[in-house]
Amino acid sequence: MAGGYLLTALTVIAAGAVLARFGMARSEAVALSSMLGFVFYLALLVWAFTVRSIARQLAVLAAGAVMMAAVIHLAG
Amino acid sequence: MKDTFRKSMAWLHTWAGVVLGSVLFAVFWMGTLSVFDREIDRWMMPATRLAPATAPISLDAVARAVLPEVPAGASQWRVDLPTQRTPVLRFTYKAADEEPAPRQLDPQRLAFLPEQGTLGGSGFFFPFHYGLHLQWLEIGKWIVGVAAMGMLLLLVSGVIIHRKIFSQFFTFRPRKSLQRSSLDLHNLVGVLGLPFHFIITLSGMVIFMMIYFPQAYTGAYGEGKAAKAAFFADAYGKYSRPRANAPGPLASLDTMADVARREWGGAQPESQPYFVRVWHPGDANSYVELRRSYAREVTMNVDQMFFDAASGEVLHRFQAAPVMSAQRFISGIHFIQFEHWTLRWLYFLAGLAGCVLIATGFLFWLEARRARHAAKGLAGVRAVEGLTVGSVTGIVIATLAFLAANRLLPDGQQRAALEVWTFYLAWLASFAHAWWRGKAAWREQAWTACLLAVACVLLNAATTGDHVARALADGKWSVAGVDLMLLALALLAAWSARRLAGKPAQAQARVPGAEARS
Repeated sequence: MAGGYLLTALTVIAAGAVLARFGMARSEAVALSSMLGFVFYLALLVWAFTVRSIARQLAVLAAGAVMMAAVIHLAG
Repeated sequence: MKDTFRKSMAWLHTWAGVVLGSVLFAVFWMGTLSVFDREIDRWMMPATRLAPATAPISLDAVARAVLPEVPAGASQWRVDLPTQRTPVLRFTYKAADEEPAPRQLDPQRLAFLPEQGTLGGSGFFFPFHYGLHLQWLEIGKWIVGVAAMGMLLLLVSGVIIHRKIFSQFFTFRPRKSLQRSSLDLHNLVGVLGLPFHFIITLSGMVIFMMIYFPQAYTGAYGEGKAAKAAFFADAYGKYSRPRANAPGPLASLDTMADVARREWGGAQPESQPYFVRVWHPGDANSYVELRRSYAREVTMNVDQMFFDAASGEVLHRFQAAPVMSAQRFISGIHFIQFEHWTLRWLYFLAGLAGCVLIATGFLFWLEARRARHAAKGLAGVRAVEGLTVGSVTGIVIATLAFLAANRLLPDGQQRAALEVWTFYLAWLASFAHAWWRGKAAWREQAWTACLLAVACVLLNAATTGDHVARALADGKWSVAGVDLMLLALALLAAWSARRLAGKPAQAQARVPGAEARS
């Protein structure tokens, strides 16, 4: 659950950066990505509770986090 | 595969419910009360049971009334104007090292009312709803946030494990065993309230998006304090300038309000300012902030205008951009600060449905396990039952004790703190009682709530003279409404007490164990 939150928080930051890069007003990009963050987190949690293997769960979360960190680095 | 999915969702629903149910009940209960927080304020602050102002209120007259109370060197003072639900004006100020409690003014005479000695519904129930009164590191808001995500998960998993939504919607067997009827009721209010519960939970989190995603701005704005301030200024609007440290005058606030009204569309109610705030009062760099009312729209707009205090010249105007306007709309759906009595009552009922949903979920968990745990000698039911009784009937008792303390204790500044102590001590006592008495605690606490609710109504009549008939005759709808809801609560508590006590033994024997789960 904490891992899911971490990935969500990174995704929110990354989406804010990317949207702003694509010309959206910066504050609007942050507001939009933050609001969608809650829905993203919910979907992630539902998924996490249906995946049997903890290893697979952690692998997906870690891969996602690395990807988002890269996006933040590139777009931020 | 499909069946394992449903099973994992059932497991999730069961355990998320047990673990988070207590917090969720507290949040739903306090949220339901907050729907009528201003009306509870009137009940708890008898001196504010006033008729609304008949003539428009002059901001200059307001300034004349409050300025003697603003200490030299204060950083700001603010007056919130009366609304449909709050007849009084609310005055606050901030100085370097103090931020005293709000004071209230009579709308007709613009005179200060005596200290009411209570936090009231808007000062206690409402902050409890979103922050549990745990301010350290915003820990209360985080606990509520975790519970809110849990609520969304519970709603999603509840729908998935619920095979026959349509037929079960029309199934309610109130005379069957407690386990059967509590599950029926759980399903009924769950399906009926589903859209409301989903939206109210999600919108509650959207309000605090900058608490729950505190780093969100860093991608677009970069790190650091200045970046954060820039984001907040772009999103929510903000103007500031430093003190000049030289004396300066205050021009006519009414003239500034006229400029703002013209900017916001004219004389209609939606163009009125709802509060005025003067920054650096008395300084040459002092400036005035006006905010546009949201009494007539769902969106809690952040329209604001800033004026130079000395000249009345416009310094800054702000309106939220589209996405932020959507965020303010979603916030407005949650806050219902707009004027609409029908919707307000529906919110109240839907909030109560949420309380029933959580309470019946707990009851079903307990009844489904009671016989099995007793047979195996497990302590689970006993422990969860104590927790459940304390967090369901316990918080109701604590709330009523809070209201009773307000009418029993003498007026004065110290009463506010004593009321809060009464609340927590009553809550603690109800937990202790619940663990001590086990199943019998349900019945005993429900009767206690019934008696307390009636006592509150009697105390209000005795100490203020505004009994229901009198309050109705005088048009004090808020006072009459709170009294009538207390009486309704007394009836509901009496009914629950009888139902929770009734025919337990043979009913349980018919539906043993957890396999009765649908």
